Amino acid sequence: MRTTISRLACAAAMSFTFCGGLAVAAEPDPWPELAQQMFKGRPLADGAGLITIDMPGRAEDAAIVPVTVRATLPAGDPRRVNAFTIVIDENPAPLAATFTIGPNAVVPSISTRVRVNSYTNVHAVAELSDGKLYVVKTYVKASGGCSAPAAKTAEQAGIGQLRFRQFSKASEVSNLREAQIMIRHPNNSGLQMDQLSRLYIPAYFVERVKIWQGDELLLAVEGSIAISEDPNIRFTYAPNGAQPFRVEVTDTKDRVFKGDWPFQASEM
Amino acid sequence: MDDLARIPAQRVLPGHGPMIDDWPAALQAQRRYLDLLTMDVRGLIKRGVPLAEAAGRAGRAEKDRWKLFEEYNARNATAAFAELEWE
Repeated sequence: MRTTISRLACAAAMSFTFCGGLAVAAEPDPWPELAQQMFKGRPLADGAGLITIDMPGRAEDAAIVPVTVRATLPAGDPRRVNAFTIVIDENPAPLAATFTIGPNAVVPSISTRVRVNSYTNVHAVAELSDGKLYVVKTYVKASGGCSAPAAKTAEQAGIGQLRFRQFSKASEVSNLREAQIMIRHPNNSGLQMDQLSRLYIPAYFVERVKIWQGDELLLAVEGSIAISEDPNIRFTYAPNGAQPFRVEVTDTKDRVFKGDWPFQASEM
Repeated sequence: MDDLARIPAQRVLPGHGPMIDDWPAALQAQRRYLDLLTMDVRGLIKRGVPLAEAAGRAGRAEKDRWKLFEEYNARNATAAFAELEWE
């Protein structure tokens, strides 16, 4: 926790003095220490061939950077991915999100949108059913995503509004479907300045999202200040045919937002 | 833009580019671009195209009309996508 606070203070100070990214790039690679802290010293094996992480090499909008993690285990591999963790190394709070896949669910790919504060490695760590951790990484050029002003105030936005979209088959050759949960929430990072008062808006963000189909948990998400305003999670899944989809969202003020939607067996 | 267009200005000094003396007609090019971008993004959202892919596809027809198109279009498309998907 000490480290997190000092990194935060440091990032804030530097963004005033040197404009963020440039100054941070000269620092030593933070990953070994981050990995040690977050995964309690557990070994991280190379995840190439088992999982992937996709992000644009250059972020178009640093406050809304799409990221997709996928399980790409070879056919016949008996293991499954239990959880994905996304770490944005150079962000003030590097742990961006953890996605835990329901014990009976098949969720091969998950996409969301994140804030990226400076040029950074982004690591995806997967825990497979063999109990081991596997890591892959990508590099993103972006700056200022965490402090980018909010697009609108919470009152304007209709905070807590939920939408659920269902798409047609993810591909012709599988039974996978695709769905998306959209959450109206400012997800304030704590690093955004109120443009009128010139004061920092306190951090206020979506902490947990749980998605069920019928009684079975599909996906549980732990968020952070790195998730973009209006958190958005799109994922592929194997439908179990059960009704309905249920979603429960909890934010850092312990407000809970819930919704349910019928599973549409055919098209979107 | 509608609010700006109603100002009966004789001269407009933009943040970039030459001074403008045909106000509000000088807004037309930007309006055309934003209308096209909006229409493209709405269409992509309706068809279920994800953000990562849509940012590279929306607004392309305006490519040759703006000097900084490659610098800014995908960013504009990203911001538009995040907002328009709530319509």
